Amino acid sequence: MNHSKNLLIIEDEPITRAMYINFFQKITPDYQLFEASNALEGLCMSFEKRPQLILLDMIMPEYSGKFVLDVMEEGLSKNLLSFTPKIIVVTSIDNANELMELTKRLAVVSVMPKPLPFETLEELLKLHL
Amino acid sequence: MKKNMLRFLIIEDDEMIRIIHKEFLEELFPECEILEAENAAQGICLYFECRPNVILLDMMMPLMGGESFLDILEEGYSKNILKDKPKIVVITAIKDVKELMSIGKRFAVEAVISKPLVQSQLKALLDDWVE
Repeated sequence: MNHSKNLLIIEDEPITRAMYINFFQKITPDYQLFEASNALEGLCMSFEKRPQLILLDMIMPEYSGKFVLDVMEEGLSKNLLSFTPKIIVVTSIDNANELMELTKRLAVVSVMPKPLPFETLEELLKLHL
Repeated sequence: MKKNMLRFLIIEDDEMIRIIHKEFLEELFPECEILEAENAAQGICLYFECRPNVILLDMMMPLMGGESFLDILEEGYSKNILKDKPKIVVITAIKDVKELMSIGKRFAVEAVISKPLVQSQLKALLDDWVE
């Protein structure tokens, strides 16, 4: 199971990523932070670091956040994973149906709007960490 | 590669073909371990969780093709997240020469064999790798 104190941020935009890192360093100082700049790197890091929580951007070039969710979902549903991450999806998608679909995905604990409301995220982290 | 260390991963959506591959490998290497994935997503999970050393990869699969499996391995090694390099044998029905050439150049791809698989071709490859 998950005993790691690792957090993973998957976000393609460097400035946004730096902002998230900054936030987590303040809010969760006892967690080790890892960052990935695309979905493929994010998946590799997930398997290697087995993070307790993943902050996942949905809209990224080439492979999007959906790819990460697809692989995780397949792994979890077929019992192939030795860890169960909690995924917080961050997205500027405003289509209600699409958002609903995202919340139903396996391992997704929350869907947050972009730009990210940090106060809400802080509350959410208290629940999940 | 030592015979008793052999761990295969078969990524192939067609169950019949998976069984054929599996029986062939079991006959060649009775002591080997064989993992099976019916799509690229399962293949990715099994690769990272079990680290097979030889991978038989089908390219054309519904939803997520073999391409994504090659992409993620390539990314992992280029970012230094992954260290061991497996041997990938792509088994494909793709006929386009340019496409085949570009698959052959991908990271960790040791061979591209056309489908339906001629087992003697695969055996020749494995004989070279296995002590």
